[in-house]
Amino acid sequence: MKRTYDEINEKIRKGKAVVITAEEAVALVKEKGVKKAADEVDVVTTGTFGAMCSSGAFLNLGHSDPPIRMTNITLNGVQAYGGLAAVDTYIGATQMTDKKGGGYGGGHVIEDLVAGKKIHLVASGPGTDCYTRKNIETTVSLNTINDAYMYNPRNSYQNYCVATNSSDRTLQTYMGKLLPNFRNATYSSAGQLSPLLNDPYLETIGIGTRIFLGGGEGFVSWAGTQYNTQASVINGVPIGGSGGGRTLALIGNLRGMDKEYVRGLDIFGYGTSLAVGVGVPIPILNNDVMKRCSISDAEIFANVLDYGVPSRERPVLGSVSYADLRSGKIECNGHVMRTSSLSSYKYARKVAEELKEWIENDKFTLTVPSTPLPKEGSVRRLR
Amino acid sequence: MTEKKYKLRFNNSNMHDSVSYVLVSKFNIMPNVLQAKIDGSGGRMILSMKGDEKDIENAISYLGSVDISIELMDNYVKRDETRCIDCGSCVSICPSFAFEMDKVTQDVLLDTSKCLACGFCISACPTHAISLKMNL
Repeated sequence: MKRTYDEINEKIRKGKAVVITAEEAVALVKEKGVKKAADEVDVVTTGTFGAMCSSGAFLNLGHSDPPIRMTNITLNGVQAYGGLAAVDTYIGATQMTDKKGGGYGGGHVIEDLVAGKKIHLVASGPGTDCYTRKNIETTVSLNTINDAYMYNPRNSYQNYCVATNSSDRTLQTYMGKLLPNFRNATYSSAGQLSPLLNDPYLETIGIGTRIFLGGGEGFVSWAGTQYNTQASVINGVPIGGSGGGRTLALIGNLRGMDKEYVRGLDIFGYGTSLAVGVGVPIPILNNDVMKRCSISDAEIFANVLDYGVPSRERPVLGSVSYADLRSGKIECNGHVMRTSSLSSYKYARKVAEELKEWIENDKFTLTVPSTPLPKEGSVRRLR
Repeated sequence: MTEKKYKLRFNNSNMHDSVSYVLVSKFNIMPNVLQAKIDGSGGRMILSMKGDEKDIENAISYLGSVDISIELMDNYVKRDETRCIDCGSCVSICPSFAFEMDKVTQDVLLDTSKCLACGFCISACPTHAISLKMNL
């Protein structure tokens, strides 16, 4: 079986495209086999929703009169980058407020912008002959500013590790609270619904691929930072925590996003972040693509890493499947650990379902990537 | 047989009393001290009482008669459903298994009757969806 992007888009326009989620693909292929499933299905939708720290937004705040070249900028007390042109800035998800108590950061500013809330802007600059003003304090919102687009240098990790803790104290990490003596283990992947686990070699996902981003439309703009093709593979997909995996850099207009899928996070003891809903459609171009979309949680594995050891090379205790992780309990290296997720499978499912609905109702067509993402990539160390 | 949780407040005159002994011997209650703290004005305790409805009622009047103030603890933790994203950050860290991931719907379920009022979930929640309804 062979199918082209044009054929799929033609069916979408006629309202005849058959679209299923990656979760439904597991069941369908199990029931009918790869060949029959590939004959029936045009598009498989994926989804993920979790903390993606390498996220942020470019904003152009507009010019005041007299104008100011802003070099120190805060939005709701959160510092934004002051090293771009006069009123351009970048607000990053993990930048935290200086205010006592914390709990608010760049991720929350972005959520508030998407929600249409008013944002308190305080900025100062050197004052120049062309930008005479030195200070400004005012209120902005998504409606009042010129431009606002999300640009996330690294999202949608292909797979990630499972975190546990051998030490005798509770650790507060970006992987959540890790109880002493291996009492729990946490993980963060949508597993069988996750975009890059359903197209593990990026045969269909490339630069220019149109996606669901934060409830609106976005695009794959580049390979994500720390893009790595060197991870060990099992059942055709990289094992989480065995050297990372592929990642995506994503871009999309904040206008049109939905605050339901753009949530500021406050991870206790670590800092702030942003939960982003990402959904990638996978065109069923041939049987192989269909087969890869049918991977299930029982076939996807992640290494269990000991965060009790404060090293870049954390000891690996073993590997477990996402089916085991989702059961609530794993046994690894002689330790029984309670497990829980940090990314929301429920929202990952909502993303995939919503994208499916868009495609079924001709609100979203597929794009041919303009350039494929790299076949090779590895992570360099800082010495 | 029912189980209810109460917040007890002691003062300087009754803080030496053995409440548990009286509850067991006089009221046939199975007490379980979940938290206890002594402070300047006496002390505070979170106590679970298991027993017949009538026995618990009698025990409550007894505690009142010896000037121990008592307050029913219902839904110690409160969850704001509009903030909760059902991620699961609260699930494996809860010592009393009050949170559970529904395997089908993938909703994080909260059974407040299991809650031991430790408050561990509050800071574990990245969206600030869980808050205290009552402090010890």
